[in-house]
Amino acid sequence: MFDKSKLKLRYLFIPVLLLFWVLVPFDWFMGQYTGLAIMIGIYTMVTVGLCLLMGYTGQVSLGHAAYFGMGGYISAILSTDHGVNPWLAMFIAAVITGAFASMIGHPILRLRGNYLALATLAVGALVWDLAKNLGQFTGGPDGMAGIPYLAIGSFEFDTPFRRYFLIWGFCLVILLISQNIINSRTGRALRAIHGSETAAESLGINIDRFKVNIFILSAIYASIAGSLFAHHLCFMSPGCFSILSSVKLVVMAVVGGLASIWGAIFGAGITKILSDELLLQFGEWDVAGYGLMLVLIMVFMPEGVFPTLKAAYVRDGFWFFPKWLWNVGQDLFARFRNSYYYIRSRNNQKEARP
Amino acid sequence: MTSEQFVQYLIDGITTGSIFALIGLGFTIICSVTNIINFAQGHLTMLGGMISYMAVRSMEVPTFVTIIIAVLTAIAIGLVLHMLLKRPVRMLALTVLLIITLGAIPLTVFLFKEIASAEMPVLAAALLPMVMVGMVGAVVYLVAVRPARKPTTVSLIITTIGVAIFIQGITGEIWGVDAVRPDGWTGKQSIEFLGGYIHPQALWMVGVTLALSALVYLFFSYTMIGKSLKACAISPVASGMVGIDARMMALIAFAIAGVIGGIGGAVMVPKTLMSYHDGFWLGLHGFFAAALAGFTRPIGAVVAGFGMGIFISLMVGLDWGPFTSGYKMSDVMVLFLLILVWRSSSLRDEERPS
Repeated sequence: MFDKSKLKLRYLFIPVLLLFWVLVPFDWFMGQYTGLAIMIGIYTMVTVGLCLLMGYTGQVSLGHAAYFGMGGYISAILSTDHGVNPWLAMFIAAVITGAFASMIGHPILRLRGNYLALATLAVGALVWDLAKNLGQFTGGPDGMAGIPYLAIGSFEFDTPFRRYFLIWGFCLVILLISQNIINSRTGRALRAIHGSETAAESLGINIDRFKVNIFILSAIYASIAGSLFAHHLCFMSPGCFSILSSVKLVVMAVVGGLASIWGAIFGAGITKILSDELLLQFGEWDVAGYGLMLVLIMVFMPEGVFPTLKAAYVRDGFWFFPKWLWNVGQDLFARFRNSYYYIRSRNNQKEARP
Repeated sequence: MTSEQFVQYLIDGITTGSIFALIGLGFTIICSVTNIINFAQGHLTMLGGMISYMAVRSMEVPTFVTIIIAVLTAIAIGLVLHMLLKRPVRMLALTVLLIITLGAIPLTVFLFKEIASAEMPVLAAALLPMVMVGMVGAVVYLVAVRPARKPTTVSLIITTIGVAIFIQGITGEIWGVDAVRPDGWTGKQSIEFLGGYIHPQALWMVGVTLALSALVYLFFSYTMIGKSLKACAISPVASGMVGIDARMMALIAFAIAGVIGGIGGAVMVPKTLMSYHDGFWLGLHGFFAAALAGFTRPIGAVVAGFGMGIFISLMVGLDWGPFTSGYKMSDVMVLFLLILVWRSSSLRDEERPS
């Protein structure tokens, strides 16, 4: 790993970040961004699940918004139409989504690579299409409104200020649980599966069980996030979990670094701030700008923004960013100048994949 | 269902199937050579339709679009020079590229207005998208896929999704958000056939699909480049040993897929409306056609595409229980998942370890 002495600043960072996090929803600080911060919290939960599944276990899922939508819809239907307590509705939604994920996961997770990506994409499209078509339960394409807020006794979470702490509380619990899973025996088993399924199996790891279990866990995270989303906005529609939003979830996980739990906050934050705030400055070019950012990030930081910059910081200290830019520029220039010999030498080292 | 209705549904199914077949063909060519799922393939098809529309109505061409096209043309010519010349003279090629870039802008603007004039609408509607989208495909590879460092399945998927979103954003800006529909290539009178009616454009669609499939088959079987592509698809390492440059083959595969996407979009747009956000759904159906054929057999993808079109159309015609037009997406997804799961053990052996 890296030299810990260079990370001394982190002991200063953590209290400052905590203070910042507590202060965000206050009107005199950054009150106008409370809604954005809540959304970042909700998507962080889904992203953590995706990190566990994709980064640690190495299984792609392009349909995770489906579980987000299922959680939101089941919770919404139970609490609005049938008068179930929202907390109970959230729990039932998580159980049903977990059962669904288990049913889907057993056959699908036997696929690999591109086929797994397409199969999960198909599951996402299926759930989305059903939500649009089962109008008598889900309200069709218009969605459902009037979902009640969560409440403890008479204390109702009816202001953004209160929901901010509720949702980030859930988020922190999920982050800590995931951190513990990663540092446990299970986490080591998952990383072994990522490295080589054959090797993991020969070490006595039941790879099917571990893959399905982590898939169910990440689906439950997504379901809880979806329920919180529904009880936060009091609204749920198929547009909230379209296929494109599945893709955006994967983008969040990759931007934050697939194999880093705490990077999920960073990934969800960057992506949400980019698409909801910064890119709007470009007016109608925001969609194209989003695509361009995605390509640039993937080309220059394939391991994710957070891990790349962290590694550069650990290596180069305070002036890491200009140094990193300089290195990337030098590399590009060298590859352009010597492309022929570069390819030759690369071919000799390893299998040339474009 | 009467026999006339059956014939009509069959005709519609074959027409829709030809679109899926063309997109699936493009996917398969890229995926077999490079093992990349190009999520932008549907968007390239959409772009082809838009360019075709623009070519037919040449009066509406904005100047900056022609300039972009001119620059792309110049880059393409420069690249061809770059490939043809030996390394010591490549600086010369770069100089020539610069001169061409400057010269090509007025030339392309001129040619564009000429070809797109009303005297040869079919030629313009077919040729311009073919050439331009082919170039876009090559540029996508060179700009987004090739520079990626340490690419993985997930990072490549996200790169191509970024490209897709970028194309969608740009298209929405240039051609607006409304659906476009140019006139058909030949005639407007439907042809009666066994009690069903055939739109003349549908004949073009099926004909172009069959002709392109035959061309692709011949190209892969009887030309040196085609055989090199095939070799690269079977084993990149072994083909590298006999002097085939995997990166050049990937570039060619992307360009061919672009050409197929361009002509596919051009031929379908007079029959089906096309708007800037259709790319994703087109791509999704194309994936499934390609995946059913195992991503390795182009002709298999064509057959699967036609089969899928006929299946959807007949299912809509059946109109019973869950088999109605509202659920057609869900039914296709379920069928796709079932086929994938059924074949999962054999797919597992086919999937190349990455």
